[in-house]
Amino acid sequence: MRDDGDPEGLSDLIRKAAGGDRRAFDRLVVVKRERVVRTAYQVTGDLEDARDVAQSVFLRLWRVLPRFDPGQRFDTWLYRITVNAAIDLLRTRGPKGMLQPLPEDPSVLEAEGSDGGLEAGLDLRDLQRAFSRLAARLSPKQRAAFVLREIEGLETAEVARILDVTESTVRNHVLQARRTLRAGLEKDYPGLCPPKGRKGGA
Amino acid sequence: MSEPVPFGDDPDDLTAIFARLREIEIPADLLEAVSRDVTAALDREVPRRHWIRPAAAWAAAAALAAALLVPAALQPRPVAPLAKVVPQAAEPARAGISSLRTPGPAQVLDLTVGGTQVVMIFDAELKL
Repeated sequence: MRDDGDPEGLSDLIRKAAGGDRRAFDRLVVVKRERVVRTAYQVTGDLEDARDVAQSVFLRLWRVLPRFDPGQRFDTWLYRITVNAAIDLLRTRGPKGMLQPLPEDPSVLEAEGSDGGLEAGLDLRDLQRAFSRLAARLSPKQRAAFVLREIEGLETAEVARILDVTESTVRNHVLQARRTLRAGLEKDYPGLCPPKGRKGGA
Repeated sequence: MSEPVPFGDDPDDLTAIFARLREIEIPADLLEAVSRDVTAALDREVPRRHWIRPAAAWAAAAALAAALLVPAALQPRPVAPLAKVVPQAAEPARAGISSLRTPGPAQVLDLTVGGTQVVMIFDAELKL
């Protein structure tokens, strides 16, 4: 779910929620919950953990929203709260060896693949399983940087703001994560690797 | 939010395929559960606006109580007034001798020394 721009009057929702309007806040939760859960899921690797993280993120958001600076990007702020909560949880409980896959519901996880591209026939469930297993080998920061940069598709500068590190640190985390994931892909999931000579991309 | 970068910044990188995970949709029932969790948790909380008010009221009450009680507690305790000693009325010092006239021949002598009174009756004709 992408809610870039302000299609539903996001600024208005934020302003009202910051003023204590519960209905506006509930709406804000609906607008942002999928992104929060997805990010938390990819960082923690567990759907129940992601649900717990999402709850704590939105409770925290309710408390600190009055202090939100409208000059800041709301999504950056929300990602920061989410990633910090997810990393805290990871550090508290330690990595799980095998991430919990999403429910095997084809309607939920059906790959689109309608563009006939490289990944056209790739099952998202297989891809998620592979990532779940391989991402357990990353440090929390590497994992968070990779998720934000490569899965959420954020710019390096924004990832740096979210993680409160320099851009070069982000690049380093992503580089290390790629190396680890690439080695795992080649060794354990050769079927997911694109054939030589083909380039991925949209 | 910035425009998503398609499949990472290096499309030749094998790990770029993980960018497709952004297409994953989280199950709707789980998202509804998140909303329910949040609503329930917020309902259990004191509303934010009324959250500070009671806290401030308690603080004010505590400050007022402290302002009143602490100086009182630190003040030296007033010495309880001693019970007023009522001086006993001094017994008029009595000492003396008086002779009381009687209608008869007898004479009465009243001898008093302090609290002791001796009455002597003298009758010359009295034969014991």
